[in-house]
Amino acid sequence: MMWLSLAIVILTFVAVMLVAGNNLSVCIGPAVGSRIISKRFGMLLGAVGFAVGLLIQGTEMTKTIATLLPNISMQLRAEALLVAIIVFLVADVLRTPLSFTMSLVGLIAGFSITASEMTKMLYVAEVVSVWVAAPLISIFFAFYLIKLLNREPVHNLWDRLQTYKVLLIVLAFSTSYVLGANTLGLIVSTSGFNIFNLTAAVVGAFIGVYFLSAGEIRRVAEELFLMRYPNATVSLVASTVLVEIATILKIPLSNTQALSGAVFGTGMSYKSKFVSLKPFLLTVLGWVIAPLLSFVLGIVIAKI
Amino acid sequence: MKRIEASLVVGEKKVFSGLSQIVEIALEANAVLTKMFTMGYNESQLTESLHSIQDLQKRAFDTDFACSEDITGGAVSPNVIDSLLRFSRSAAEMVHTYLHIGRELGRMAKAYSAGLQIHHADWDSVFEDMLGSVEESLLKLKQALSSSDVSEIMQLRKEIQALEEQGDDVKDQGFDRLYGIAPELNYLEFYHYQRILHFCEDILNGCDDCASLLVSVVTSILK
Repeated sequence: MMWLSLAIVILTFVAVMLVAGNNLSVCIGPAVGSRIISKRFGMLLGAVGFAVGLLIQGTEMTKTIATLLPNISMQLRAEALLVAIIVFLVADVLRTPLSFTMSLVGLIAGFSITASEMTKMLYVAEVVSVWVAAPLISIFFAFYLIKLLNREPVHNLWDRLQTYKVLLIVLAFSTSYVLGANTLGLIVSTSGFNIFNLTAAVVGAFIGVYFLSAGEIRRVAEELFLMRYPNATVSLVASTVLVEIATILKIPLSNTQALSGAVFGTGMSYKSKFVSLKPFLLTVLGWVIAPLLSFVLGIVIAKI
Repeated sequence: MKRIEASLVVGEKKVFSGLSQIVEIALEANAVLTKMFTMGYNESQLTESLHSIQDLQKRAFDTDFACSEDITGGAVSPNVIDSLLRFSRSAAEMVHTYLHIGRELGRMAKAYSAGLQIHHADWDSVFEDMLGSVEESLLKLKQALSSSDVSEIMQLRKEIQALEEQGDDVKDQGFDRLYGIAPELNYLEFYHYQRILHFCEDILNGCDDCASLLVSVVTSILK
């Protein structure tokens, strides 16, 4: 039993470390990419945001586990985390965009079906609906918000620019906060909310941020976030608002899902646009495949 | 924390102030050159003024270097880095063009001292008109760089564009006159006048390019 508890602490640490390292770039990329803050300060801001989000709102995610697997055993908790980590690492090696949140929820749903504990199908339908609706809402929200901003006359160039820059710093923190509350909250909920797992998660978040995120930040800041200030601001606002609403509704939502939609939405707002659909469709395909594949894996593992 | 403080000052604003300094230097060079045209190809006076332009050109390139460092190392949106660097380079190149004109005047003064006959044909008024347009353009460019009102920047850009078109007409008329009196001119004088006309046009084009780049920067960071 003690070995299993220790294994869960380690798996929580590893899962949070991987997620924090992989997702930090999305949270602080716009602020670092536009060189408002240094990479080092961005890392600190992101790590603190993850930890604060997890500690303040992370428990909201316990509903997912309590609903899908009310009698989840220690072994099942460990298996869920281990398989989610393996799936995540395999996807990373194959350079396939895959959401840890979706994968973990898919796995737990697979365990739940096999254990005949899936009594609240309505909750699963809610989660799936949010997953489908979130990117669409994000696209429309970002599209109209950017149109509205562009229509607004600029009275003072420097005041407007300063506002964007301050907002991007605030949003770097808030995006990290909501990711900490939702995705990291889901991981700790899977392992069980106790002082050991929580400590492992907070330490994992800091280690992931400082040791695994550097390359990703450079790539995202240089490639993805060569975005204009209004576009970056609107994208982060959209993803922060959507993930926070999902957290309040106790529904796990991948923050990259909301952000990708918002980036697409801001891109659509240009008068003349060239939208490269292939990477976007690949990402969408990942959103479909990740939960389904994990769901099947969950069933197979539970039957073994 | 230093980065945050710098960002609150707005990196782009600091860069604009650096660019404004180069435009200010170009204005000084324009004043010196305008005076050189009134010196009647006096070699010693021209040499003295040429030294002043050389100093200004050195200052412009130093400021361009400092600006480029601010642009690539400061809190500036990556979208506008290229445009800002091109602006800085173009503005410094304008000052360099003044040096080319000054040298051309100096060389011609040497030719006249060696015995070549002067055919003025009222050329000074052509260059005065062109350098007048350049001065007006540079003043508008400086005003645009210090403005925080986007519509004013757009309006100033249109005015600079109009001055460039006006300068083009003056240049064309100048060439018409030049070809009209070509039989009376020594080949060296013909070459001299047409080079200066081209150089003046280059400076006016430089102002127009800088104004377009400025508008593109402002649009890029706001929309």
